[in-house]
Amino acid sequence: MDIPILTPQLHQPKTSVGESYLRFQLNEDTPAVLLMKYVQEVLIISTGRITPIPNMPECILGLFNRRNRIFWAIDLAFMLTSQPVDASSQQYHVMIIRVGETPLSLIVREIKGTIRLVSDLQPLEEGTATIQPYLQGYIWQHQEKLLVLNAEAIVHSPSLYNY
Amino acid sequence: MLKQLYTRPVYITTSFIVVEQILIGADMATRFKQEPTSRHKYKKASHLNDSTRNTPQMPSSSVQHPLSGLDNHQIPTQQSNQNSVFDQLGLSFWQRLSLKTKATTLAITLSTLPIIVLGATAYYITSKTITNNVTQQQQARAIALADQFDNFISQRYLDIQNLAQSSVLNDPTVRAVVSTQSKELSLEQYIKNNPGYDNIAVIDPAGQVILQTAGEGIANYSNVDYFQQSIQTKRPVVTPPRKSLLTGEYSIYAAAPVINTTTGEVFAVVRSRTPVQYFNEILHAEAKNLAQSGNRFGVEEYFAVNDLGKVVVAPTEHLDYIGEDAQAVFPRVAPRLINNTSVGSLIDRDRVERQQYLVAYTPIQQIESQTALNWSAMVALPTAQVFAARQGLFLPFFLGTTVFTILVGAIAAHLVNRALRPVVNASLAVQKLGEGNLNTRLSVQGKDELAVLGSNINVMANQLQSLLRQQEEVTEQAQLFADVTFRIRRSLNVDDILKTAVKEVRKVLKSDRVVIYQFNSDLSGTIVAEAVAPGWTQALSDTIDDPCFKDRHIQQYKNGRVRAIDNIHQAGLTDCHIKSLERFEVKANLVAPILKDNQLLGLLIAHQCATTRAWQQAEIDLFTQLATQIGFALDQAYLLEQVEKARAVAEEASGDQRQQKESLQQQLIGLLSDVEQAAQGNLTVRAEVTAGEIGTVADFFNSIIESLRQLATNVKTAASQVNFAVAENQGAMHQLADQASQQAEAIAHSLDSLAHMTDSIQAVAASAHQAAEVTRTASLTAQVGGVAMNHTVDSILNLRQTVATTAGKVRQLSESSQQISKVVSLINQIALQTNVLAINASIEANRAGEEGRGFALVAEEIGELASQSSAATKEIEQIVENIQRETVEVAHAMELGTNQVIEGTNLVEDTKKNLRKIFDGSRQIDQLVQSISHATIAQAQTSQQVTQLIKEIALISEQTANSARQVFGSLQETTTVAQQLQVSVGVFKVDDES
Repeated sequence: MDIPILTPQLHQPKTSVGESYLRFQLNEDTPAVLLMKYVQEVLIISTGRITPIPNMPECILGLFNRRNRIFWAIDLAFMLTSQPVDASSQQYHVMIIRVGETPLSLIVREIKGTIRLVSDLQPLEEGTATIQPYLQGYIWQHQEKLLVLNAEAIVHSPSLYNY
Repeated sequence: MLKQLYTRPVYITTSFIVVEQILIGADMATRFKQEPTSRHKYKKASHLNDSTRNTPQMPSSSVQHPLSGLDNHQIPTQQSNQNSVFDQLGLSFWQRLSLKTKATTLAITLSTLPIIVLGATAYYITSKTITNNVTQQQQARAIALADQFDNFISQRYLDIQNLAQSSVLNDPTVRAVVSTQSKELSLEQYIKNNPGYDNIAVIDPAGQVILQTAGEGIANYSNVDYFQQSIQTKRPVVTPPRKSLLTGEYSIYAAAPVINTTTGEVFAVVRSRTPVQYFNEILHAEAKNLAQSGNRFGVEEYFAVNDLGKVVVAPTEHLDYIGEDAQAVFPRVAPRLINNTSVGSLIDRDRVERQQYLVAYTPIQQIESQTALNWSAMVALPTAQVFAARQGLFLPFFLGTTVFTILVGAIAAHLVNRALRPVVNASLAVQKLGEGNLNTRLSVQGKDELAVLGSNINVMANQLQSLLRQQEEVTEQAQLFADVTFRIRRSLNVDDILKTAVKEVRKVLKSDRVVIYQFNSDLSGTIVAEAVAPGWTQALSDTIDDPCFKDRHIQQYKNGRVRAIDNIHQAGLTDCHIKSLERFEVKANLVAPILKDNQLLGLLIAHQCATTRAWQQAEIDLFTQLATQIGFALDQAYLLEQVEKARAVAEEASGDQRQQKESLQQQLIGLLSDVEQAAQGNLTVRAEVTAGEIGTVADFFNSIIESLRQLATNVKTAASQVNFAVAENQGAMHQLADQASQQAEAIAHSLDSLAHMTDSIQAVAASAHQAAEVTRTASLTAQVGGVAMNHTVDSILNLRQTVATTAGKVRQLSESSQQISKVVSLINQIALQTNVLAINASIEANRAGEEGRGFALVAEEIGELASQSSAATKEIEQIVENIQRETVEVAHAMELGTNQVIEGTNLVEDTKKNLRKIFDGSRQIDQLVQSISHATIAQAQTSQQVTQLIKEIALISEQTANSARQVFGSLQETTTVAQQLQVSVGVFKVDDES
């Protein structure tokens, strides 16, 4: 059997040019990136740690505690695509972002890692209305269409405050 | 007998005579009771006296009564049987003793017993009274002691109360005035005035001693119980004697509060101490005084025992007892003192001194206003002293009783001895009589029962003597009779008998003449035998025809009358009778009949010629019996004579028979000559028939010859008939022989056919054998197939085993791959975490700005590696999944294989069954073929047997043919014989004509 991935080149020098982005899967088939400078921390928590809060918008899953601080847990996928994150999974991949003074924890399907991209951001075409306000554009890389999310837009999303 | 003694107390107490009566025998005693007068007779009875022999001269009629009375007394065993109340053993022992011993023993016992009992009782009562007195006295002293003790304690109580109320102490004004020294002085003075105290102290409520007399005292009293008690109760307290802590002596302490007369407060306590020793000395000084002042006993010893059982008061001699356990001194008294409430006495042994003491004890009463003391007072005196009086009493009592007993016993024994002497004498006499000394006689005096007994014994002895004499005479006569009889019967000749008889009878009777007088047919008589003493007339062969005799007396003699005449002149005889007797000088005679079958043969007569003679009855009896014996002897002799005569008659009869024999012989010769020709075959001759026996024989002979003649005729006819028949049979016999040979041939033919049949049967047997071989081969093949099948089954089973093992391995493989996948997911998890950490690290690095740039790069690289390892794990997962899927497939395939193997096994099993069926079938065939072969063999054997049989038949038929030939030969011989017979019979002349 041919297993090339099992023997990686550990000290392969890599190009370190461009902006640093955090790469993640919004849902099964939607990769997305977020500028690293907004990201404070990523973590993986079990679903049980999130306490559901009643009378909140559907995208807010609840509250959870991290190092004596309380964070709102936002289902980013639901907020952007109205499709809830995979509920059968026992773990949530969480990224804590901070825009200005507002910290917010976003739950995504999977955090992939960091990626450096030379910003040849392309504008969005019309059509995807719900996701539109939160996007800066997209970047093509390795035949993948990476959505570049706008952190400020997410933080100030009306769906978080409209209730 | 003892029992009777007790049931008749009157006799016991009245006199010894009664005792004797009872001793002589219960029956006698009863008789005395019934005849009260006899007792007086007995009292007057004199004892045996040798000078006046009272030989019994009683008439025989008067003897009878006392004898019968004596009988009643001579059965002592019967008596004792009636007295069934006695113990059998005791009785036999008692019976063994002599009467004298018994009587003496009883008399002594009865006379001495009351004296001994009286003496013992008197001594016992006196001694008991003395003991009681002493005990009570001592108990009184114990109570007095207790009272004394009580008083003593009370005195302490009163004294201390007085002291406390003395103004020197309780009046504050006086107290203040009087100095301490003078106060102490006054206390010393008090001690001197009231002896017994050895210390008085005044103590303040704090327990410090204020005043104190000489003598020691403890420094602080605050803890002492009586001190505290007196302060609390404000009343005086007296302690029971206790051991002083200072002096170590038993002391009584008394304490009383000193109460301020003005304020009523207790400002001091006064306390006194009295050693018990003091009390002790007073007490025992008093005891000694008491003893000296005329008390008869020694010094009493006083003791007191406290509630703990310790001796606190003891006499001066025994001061060492103080402080000892009472148990150690008086072990038996000590336990009674505990919780004792009453006075008591006991004899106990002092353990220390080893001396017996009589001890009286009592509890000491409750002291006035004090708690219970639980003490006991004891007074002890050595028993030797207490009971000295009692000891002194014993010796006089004992000596007096003994002397009196011996005296009375001696008197009793003497009296009994005197009273019993006649009885003993009687007993001795009877014993001598019993030993055979019949001349023994008792001297009898007086008329009492013993005298009667004596005279009866004498009478009895006389009777015994006369009886003995009579007995001897009878024996002698019997002997004589036997002798005479024997001599008479020795001979069978009549004359001899008669002679012997008269001789012997005369010898026996010692008479002068004895004759036997035989009656003739006319009733006159002849003297046939005589024995006469020399000098007297001979009367032998004298015929006496006495007409005056025969008519009157013969009938009487026939009836067996015996006549004895003592004196012929005084017997009232007729003159002719006397005259005929005087002829032979007869003075007295004795006549007895000799009888035979009630027939009077004669008379046996004895004559006394010298004097008259009184015939004794025994002589008469003997004479009679001798006469009878002579009768018997004569009878026998006559019988013998008759037998001799009969024999002579028989000899005459045998002469006639010889003549008859001779005539018979002649007749026989005639008969024989008549029939002589019949011997030559002439059957026509006849014998002459005459009268008489021979005539009858001749008649018989004639009829026999006639029968013979007819027989010869018949034989002739039969022989000719046989000749004819044989000639006819000859043809038939020929035919028979021919047919027998034909039969033999036919049988040989059938034998051949049978041989053919046997051959074919053997062929069948061979075929059957071949078939059996073939089937056996088939069966063998089937068996081999079965074995091969078994091998196949085994292989298949092995295969199944292998498949199962492989399945297990595959399952293990699957489990291992599952574990791999677990590990892989763990790695994946780690990679994820690493990734997250790398991201966080790079975030942190970015935040650090330019300095963290290098670190950020490293972090990114780490993240890259983490995602790469994640991908790698994904691939591993894929591979593992593949492996699992394939293992599942393999397991499935295995299962299928196993099923197929099972199926294969089943098929093989079926095949095996089929093979088994084939095998069974071939075996059945084999069996069948075998049975066929057996059957053919049996057939062959049967056919062989048949052949054998037929051969035998052939043999027999041949024999038959032979037999037929022989029969033919025999027939021919028969013909020849028949012809010969015809010739022989022809010799007999049967017809007169031919």
